[in-house]
Parts: sequence; C-alpha cells; structure tokens
Amino acid sequence: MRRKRKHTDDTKEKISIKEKITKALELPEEIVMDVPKLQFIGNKDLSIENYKGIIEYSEETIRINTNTHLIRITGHKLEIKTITAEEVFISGDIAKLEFTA
Amino acid sequence: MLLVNIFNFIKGYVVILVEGYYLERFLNICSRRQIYLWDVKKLSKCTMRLKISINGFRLLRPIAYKTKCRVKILTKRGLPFVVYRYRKRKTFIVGILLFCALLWYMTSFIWVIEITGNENISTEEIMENLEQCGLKVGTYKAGLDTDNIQNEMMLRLNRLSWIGLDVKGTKVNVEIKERRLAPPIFENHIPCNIIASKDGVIKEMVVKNGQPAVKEGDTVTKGQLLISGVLDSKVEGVRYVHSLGSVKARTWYEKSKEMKLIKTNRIPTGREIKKYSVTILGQKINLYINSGIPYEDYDKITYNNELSFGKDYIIPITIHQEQYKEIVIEKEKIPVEQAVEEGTRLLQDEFAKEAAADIEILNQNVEHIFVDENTVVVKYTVECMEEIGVQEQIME
Repeated sequence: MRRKRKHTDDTKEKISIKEKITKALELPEEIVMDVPKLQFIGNKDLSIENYKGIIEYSEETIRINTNTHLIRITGHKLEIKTITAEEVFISGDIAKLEFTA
Repeated sequence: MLLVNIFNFIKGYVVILVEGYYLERFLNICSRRQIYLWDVKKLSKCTMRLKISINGFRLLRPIAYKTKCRVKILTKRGLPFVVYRYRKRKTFIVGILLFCALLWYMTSFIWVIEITGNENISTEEIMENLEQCGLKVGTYKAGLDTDNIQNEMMLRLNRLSWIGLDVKGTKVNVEIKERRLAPPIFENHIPCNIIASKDGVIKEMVVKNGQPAVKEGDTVTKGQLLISGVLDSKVEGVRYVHSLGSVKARTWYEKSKEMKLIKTNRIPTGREIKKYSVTILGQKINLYINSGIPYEDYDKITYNNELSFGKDYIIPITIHQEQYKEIVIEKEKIPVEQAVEEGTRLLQDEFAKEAAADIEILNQNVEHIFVDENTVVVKYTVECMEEIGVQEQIME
C-alpha cells in the first residue's frame, strides 16, 4: 500500500518536471507533451492537430482519439473538410465538445 | 481555400462513394498512409462521399479490401481528365500551340515608339531619323542595338543633348533632352551694326562703340540702322568696328479679336449610341451594319484601345469605340461688358506669351466696336518700352 502510494507520487513529480521544463523553455507543448492542439473559428470550424484516429463519424457526433483524451464533438451537419496524418479539420454547427479519459 | 481548390483542380481529383461498416477505420488508414482526403460527407449510416486525389485513389484498393468497403467513382474532375478527353482532338492542340506561337511572334516586334521630352524638334523628324537608324514600327526586336542607334542619333541631330532608348516589351520609350542653342553672339573682333528689331520711337540710347545713326526721339522702322559699325574719318579712312550699345524705344502693339455675343451651349440629352470597329494591321473593320446616326446634333467621342498584355506588350490590334452623344444646342445672349472683358483677358494672355521677357508696359487701352448686333470687335493697344537693338554682321 505504502509502496503504491509512493509510486503515484513519483509519477506526479516526473510529469511536473517535464511540464516545468517545457514551460521554462517555452517549447510548444503540443509537440513535447504529445497533447492535441485544438483551434476553433467560431463554432463552425475546428481543427485538431496531433490526433490519433477517428473512432466515430456521423453528421451529429464525431469522436476522435488523441494521446491524452477522447474528444467528442456533437452538433449538426458535421463534416470532415480535410483529413491528413497530422490534422483533421471539421466544419459544421458545433454545439458541444467534451473531453473524456 | 481558393488557392487549394485551384491546386486540386490542376492536379485532378475524384469524387468517390464509400460503402461499408468500418468507415472510420477506412479514414484512419487513409490518413496514416498519407492519403489526402477532403470534403468527407456522411450520407447515411454506412455511406460517405469524399474527394481524393488521383494518386491517392490508386492506393485505395488494398485499404478498401482490408476494411471491406466498396468504393464507387461518382465524378472525375480536374485538368488531367480534361486533357485526357481532348487528347484525340489534334486541331485543338495545334490551335493552342499556334496561338502561343503567334503571340510570341507578335510580341517580338516593336509596335509602339513613344517619344518624350522633345520641345522644338518635331516628333516626325525624330521618327524619320530613327527609321534611318533602323528603328521603326515593325522592327524585329532581337536585332536591335539601342546603343548604336543612340550614338547615331546623336550624330544625326546636333540639337540633341541626350537620347535614351528603352525597350519595354513591344514598346520603345525614346527620351530626349534638347540642347538649347545660344542666340548668335558675334565675337568682339567681328565688325557689326546694330539695327532695329521693331518699329518704335527711340527713348534712350547708350552707344559704347560705333557711330550712332539715329538720335533719341527719332521714329525708326524695323531693320533700320541704329548704330553703325562703319567709321569713316578723314585721318584714318574707313574702319569697321564691333558696335556695342543699348537702344530702348517705345513700341506699340495692337491686337484685336472678334467676340460673339451669343453663346451656344451644348447640353447633352443623355441619349447615346456606341459603335465599334477594329483595326488589325492597318485594316479597319467595322463591327456595325447601320452607319447612320439618329440624332440631329451630336458630339462624337472616339476611344482607341490598343490591346496589350500588361502595360508593355502591345499587340497591333486596336479597338475603336465611337460614342455619339445627342445634344441640344441652346443659344444664350451675353452682355457686351462680359464679352469685352473676356476678349481683353484673352488678348492680354496672347500678348504676354509673345512679348519679350524684359518688356515694360507703359500704357494699355481697350476699345470695342460693334460689327453687327451679335458681334463685337475688341481692340487692345499697348504702349511699351523695350530694347530694340540687335547685332548684324557687316558683310564686306
């Protein structure tokens, strides 16, 4: 029990060091930390960089897998404008965006 | 996005319909294999429509097999397909090539020569000389040696102080600076007389060298001897000297102008017609059938548009637009005072242009005489004081 607790503390510290370094050196976080970069233009256009894959795709919901979270986008007339290995560009009436682990 | 669309059109793309249950997987595999997809639209639960580049489409077969999707081509768009469709139409291709060749051929000649900067040398004279130097409208551009032409032009026209040729596309800009020729001044040792350049009454006379032939208060006519350079004395005989001196005289100028008391105003009615014609290599072709003009009074404005690529590549095709604007002529009576005033102003301007720079106006007078009830003659007289002596060489 004790050992396990110590382990979690350790990982926590490790992440924070990595975070601290990135923040201190002002490195682009989405590359170093491997987190997705989301960019909204109003509620119509959304670009997601550094994603892993599409899990679900319909006109009402799109679910996208990334390294840290699962992103769920809900709305109307959703459409994938472009899709490349690095970026997916979604357009439509976006109503909601959720992050789940 | 427009730029991307144009790029995609040039590269060519296919609109496809994908049917199957694992559409998301299909998208993921495509993106992982660097296949660019766009405008992905889900049509129903298991169909989607998307656009894909031609190269991407060729890589699609194994992916479709792997995800158990069926792929159907809806439309093919873009330049490669257009080219493919017209590949057998040889005359079409020949036409395109011919067009390019003709364009290239046409733009390898000089079509316009523009001369700027000349004040006293006429444009025609410069054109004539340029032609003799080997530069005229229609000259082949490749064989043009501008340096040589510049040098030759300088030798031909001694009134030039500088000439610059600048070939820009099918146009040559000829820039000219003129040499100001000094008035003939006889050197001190050359014997000369001083004669009157104008009629007048001598007011002031200063003789520095030579024999005065007239005295102050004398009336002289143009060309009359004022100071003689021929000295005749009993002791030394006849001597010729370089006469020098200033002769100021009162001169009179009279100018008149006929002024109409009825002014015609041309008021446009707003109705107009346009006629077009084209000049190709000097041949004018009318682009209209009916040559009549339906208006009694009209103004005609002609616009000439030379076809060109950009500013400098001019093609020898000119489009003429003739605009006929209907007008109504209205007559308006203007008061005598106004007409006289207007006439005086015009005459004064005219006089100021003609008179020498050092002229001194002593008196001016304006009179007017009616010729008939609608015409008046304005007479403008000026009394001036000016230098009238000019040197003239004595021919022995």
